[in-house]
Amino acid sequence: MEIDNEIFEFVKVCSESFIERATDMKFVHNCKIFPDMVEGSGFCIKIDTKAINNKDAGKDRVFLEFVVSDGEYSVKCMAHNAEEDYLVSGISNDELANMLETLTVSQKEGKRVEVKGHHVNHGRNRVFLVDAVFIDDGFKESQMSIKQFKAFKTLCKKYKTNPLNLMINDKTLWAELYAKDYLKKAIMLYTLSPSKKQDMIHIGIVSSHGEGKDHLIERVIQPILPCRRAGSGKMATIPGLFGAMSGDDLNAIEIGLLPKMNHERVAISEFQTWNEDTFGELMNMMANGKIEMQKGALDIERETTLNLLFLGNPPAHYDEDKHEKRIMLDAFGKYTLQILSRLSLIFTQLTLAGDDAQHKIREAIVSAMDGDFENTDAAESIRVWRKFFREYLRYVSRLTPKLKKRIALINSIYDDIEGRPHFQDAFCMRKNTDNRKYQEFANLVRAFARLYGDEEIKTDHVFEAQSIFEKSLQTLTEEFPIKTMLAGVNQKLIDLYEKLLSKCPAGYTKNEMREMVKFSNDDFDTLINLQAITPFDDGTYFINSGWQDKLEGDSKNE
Amino acid sequence: MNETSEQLETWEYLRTYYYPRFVNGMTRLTWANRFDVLKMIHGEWEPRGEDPVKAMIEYVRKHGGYFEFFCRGVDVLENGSFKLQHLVSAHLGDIGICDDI
Repeated sequence: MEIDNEIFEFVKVCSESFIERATDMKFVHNCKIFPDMVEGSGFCIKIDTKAINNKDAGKDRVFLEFVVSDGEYSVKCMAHNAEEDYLVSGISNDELANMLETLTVSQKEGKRVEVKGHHVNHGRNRVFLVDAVFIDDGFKESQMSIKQFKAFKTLCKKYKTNPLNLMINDKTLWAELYAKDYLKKAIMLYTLSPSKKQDMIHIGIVSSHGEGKDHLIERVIQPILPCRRAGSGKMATIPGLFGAMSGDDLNAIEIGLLPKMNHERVAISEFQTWNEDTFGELMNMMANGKIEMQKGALDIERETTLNLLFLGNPPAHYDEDKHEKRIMLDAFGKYTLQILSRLSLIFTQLTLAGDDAQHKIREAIVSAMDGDFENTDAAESIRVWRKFFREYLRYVSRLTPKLKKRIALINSIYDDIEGRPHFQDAFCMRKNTDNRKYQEFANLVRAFARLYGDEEIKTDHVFEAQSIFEKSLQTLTEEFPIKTMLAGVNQKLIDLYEKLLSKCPAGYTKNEMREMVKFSNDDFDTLINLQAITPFDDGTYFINSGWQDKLEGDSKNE
Repeated sequence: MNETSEQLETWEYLRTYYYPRFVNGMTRLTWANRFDVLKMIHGEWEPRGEDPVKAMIEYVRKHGGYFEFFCRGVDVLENGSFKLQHLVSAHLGDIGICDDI
């Protein structure tokens, strides 16, 4: 869909007024050579106070040495109250005391801090001399003004569109990846920043190999808003995710990835490689938006109000004939039902883009390989949209549309969906109603109102929530050709095989077959290698009618 | 008695999103089956003429569709909540109104 130029020009002007904010320590780390004032953001992981014994410094002067880390970059920082003759940028006793208090809060409570300062030489060391430290609650204020927000909404109305439609347009945030609309909408829900535990939206996507799940994180989500990817399997340990006792200070717990990303997002790629105990630890966090830890003499609580995205493949033991569809999510181990209950949306689909979208996916791949998204007008346009929607999403995340006015309608819709056998089978319901699923449904309604930028719930938002909720349920309950998928066969090959089987089952040459069914040599050869097609000496071919059954049998035996 | 604004809004929602799916569900049935289902949803359908199915076809044509039957299969309360009759719900879709057919 084309976007009117007036909208783009408005978005461009707005985005030029937004400044890029540091959400890590990378810039501070990389600016060591220069003396300029820089700022960064991270967590205090070590504090040390040292006496300054130098007559130029003055009496009873102190060095505050601390390390600020974003998990990737750690920077040794310093502040002091010494005289200028000893070292520049000294601060007062009170300021230094406040700084110590702020840093201690960061270390003990796992709060993010913003630091501002410049690099100086001190003796033989190059140190980052900090002027100011602030607590950053993680829930970023949007740079978008009310005026800009209202003007944007008015423009959308003028051109008969809405912010969500613009966000899922292939020329804006989804230029680099082709996906179905409902999946785009699910990801846009995920990009909202949760401020309270009721706002959290956890999403699971189980699909075939090579469907662009990592591409989704790298090219769509991360360029818009902070989203850290948890490692797969043993690369993501429980201490790494939640926190561990500090080696430098046994009275502190170093912050793990989840508390670090409070009010933001974490994506778990290849979640099926995780140890099931890790999911057990996640349960509390997913429901309550916090984690509790007792280590040694410490008993601490960390806020983890964030959205989780699980991306992965089904478990190898899944048997289509014996198992229900939801067993495909057995990768969550003994906690499968509990995790399912906590996922707002789950998509279990062979293909994320749709069977008819091959050419569009290939277009996107080729464009990325050709560098169409780097140093071109298209790249600049995408950058503008991302910068604009970053602030838009932060703005609308703070809206609190009230559900009460539409609650009777919402309740009736939910009751109708919940009363259906598919719902009860999918979530293995043991009682009459599932309050957690109800809360998730109501949260989806409110989240759509936020994406639309509306301060009150409208029936459009209710319908959006109903559509995506039902779509998710449908993918969870419909047939999923898992065994063929495990053998490395994609939907396109299955479609080709079925067409060949129905139109030219035996005795046709390749050229004769091509007249009836279009295919590439590569796909044809792959089907021969997979023993779906048998070539004869006279140049004709036989399509093996029991191939899929055999494939499934092989898969069972593995 | 006047309808509340909540009731009207719910009817608008049902008319926009549920009714097309109901029509879809009905038209997938043969007329022989459709007659039985519509008769039960209606609740007060009285035999009309010698060919009851033909009479129902005529009724649907005259009323411009199935909306009257649909309305009889749905209760909308003053607060805007609604309840679908089982036969209406069963002919919408397995999951709901939005799943692919």
